[in-house]
Amino acid sequence: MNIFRTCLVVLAASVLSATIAGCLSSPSETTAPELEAREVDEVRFATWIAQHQKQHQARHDAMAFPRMPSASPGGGPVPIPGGLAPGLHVFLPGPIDLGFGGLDHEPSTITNFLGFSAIAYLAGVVTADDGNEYDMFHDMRVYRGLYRNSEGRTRFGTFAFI
Amino acid sequence: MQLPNNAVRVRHRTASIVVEDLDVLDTFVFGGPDEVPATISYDITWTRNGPPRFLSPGSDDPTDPTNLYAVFRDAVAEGSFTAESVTEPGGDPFSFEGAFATSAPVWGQMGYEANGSFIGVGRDSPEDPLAVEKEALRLPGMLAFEH
Repeated sequence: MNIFRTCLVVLAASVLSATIAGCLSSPSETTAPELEAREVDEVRFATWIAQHQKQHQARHDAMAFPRMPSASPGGGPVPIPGGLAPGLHVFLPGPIDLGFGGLDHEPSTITNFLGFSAIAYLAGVVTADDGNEYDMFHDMRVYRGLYRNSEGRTRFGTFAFI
Repeated sequence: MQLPNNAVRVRHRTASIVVEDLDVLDTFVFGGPDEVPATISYDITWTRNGPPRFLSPGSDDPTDPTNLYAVFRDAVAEGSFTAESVTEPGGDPFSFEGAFATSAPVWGQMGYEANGSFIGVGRDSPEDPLAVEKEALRLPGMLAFEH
């Protein structure tokens, strides 16, 4: 459990350090429905990246790293053998020109897996109950299907990577 | 983390997940030593919007990030997020509700894959690039659950 949580922390840091294309403006100017409609503005986005990298030291970008599927005893799913670094069993698939590993990279964190897989890097703006606005960025993934667990048994299950 | 099957709905062109009041650990900063219990809720819907991309292993190395068979399509995901935590360990409550996020400025995809011990599903059907998708869709329960 601890190993995988560390995975997520580093993963999130990696994502934030990547050159991710996008079009978020300052939070005060942005409303939710506008986000997807805006065209990419490299200058504006470069500013957003810089702000985001600075803010990732703040608590709001790092919030909520849940307990994840890992090589847990008792028949849990088995992590993929590779990863971003030893012990970090996750890759960052996505467009290379946005700073990710490539469209052909493994999105699953579970090996011995057959099934549905979805991934998305979502960006948005949070208005907290303290009245302040913050950028947020999520790496969200879903898996459903057959997996061979750590005891060698085949199971059907649904998993989320947050 | 494992979820109830009915937390995720998979359809041919869309997929969605609804999670409510999930207990997680808030680490405040990346790799930070402090962690406190937090609660998050979110819902996300993926809608595919691209042609299929067929992946096959780039090598036999199990640690190779391309060591999978897959059929993926680009997708746009949208969702809302709610969270409750504290500003810092021992600090004041911090929360937000219903914050909208989209993958449109960045990237998303959805599809079907086989890796590890299931890689033969793709390897043994070289004439059919959709073999992994077809096999996955045959799984009882793949499309069965509703929120």
